[in-house]
Amino acid sequence: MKLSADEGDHVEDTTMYICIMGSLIYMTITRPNLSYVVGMVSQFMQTPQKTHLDAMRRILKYIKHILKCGIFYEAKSQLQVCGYIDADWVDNVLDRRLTSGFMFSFGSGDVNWSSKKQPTIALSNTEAEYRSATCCM
Amino acid sequence: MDAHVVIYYDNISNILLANNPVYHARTKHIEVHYHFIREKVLTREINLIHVNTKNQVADIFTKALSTDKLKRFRKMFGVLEVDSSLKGNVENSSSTS
Repeated sequence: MKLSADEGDHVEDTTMYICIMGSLIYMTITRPNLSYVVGMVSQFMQTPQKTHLDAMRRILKYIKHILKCGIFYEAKSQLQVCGYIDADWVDNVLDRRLTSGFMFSFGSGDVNWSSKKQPTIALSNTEAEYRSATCCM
Repeated sequence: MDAHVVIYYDNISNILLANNPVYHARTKHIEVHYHFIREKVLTREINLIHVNTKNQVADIFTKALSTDKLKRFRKMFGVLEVDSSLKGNVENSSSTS
């Protein structure tokens, strides 16, 4: 699903949208699987539209489903730092900026992660991936 | 340095670029500070390893995934469903794993 900036009706209660957004951002602190979607809907805080609110409702439905999930750090796991990096070149149709994501795990659980739209525009996929590799350091 | 960090990547050309410090016409414009990772690879602090897209966990941070992939990656993160509340002592939480 692609969200655009100017399509459909505006949400009348912007404050509500921003309030839910704040709570969602708070939830990403302990739930890495929410980072990307929350980052997506948070880009439309100034003038939220009905489609954005629908997307947000979908996230809330998902959260209800995963309420009992949490990162589990196993006591007997091998303590090795291991990282995964990925980049998305032009998936964002609004400004074509690259989205980079990374995670570092220590033992069995995830300890550090991020999903971020970068300020620069990359000219190729390799460049996008290369930039995100540096950004994660 | 022996204790290096292993980083998994799904882009082969990138690993080659980071491992091989040769300037290429198409990488010329990448700003100098972005070559930081190359420096770290050379000093062997970081070890870049290729990983198949199927196992690229970081995909979850950059694109919308299918339900199957989302569930699988979630598990690989260490995000598990625990029957009881996450609050509790060590004995309780280890028995639910």
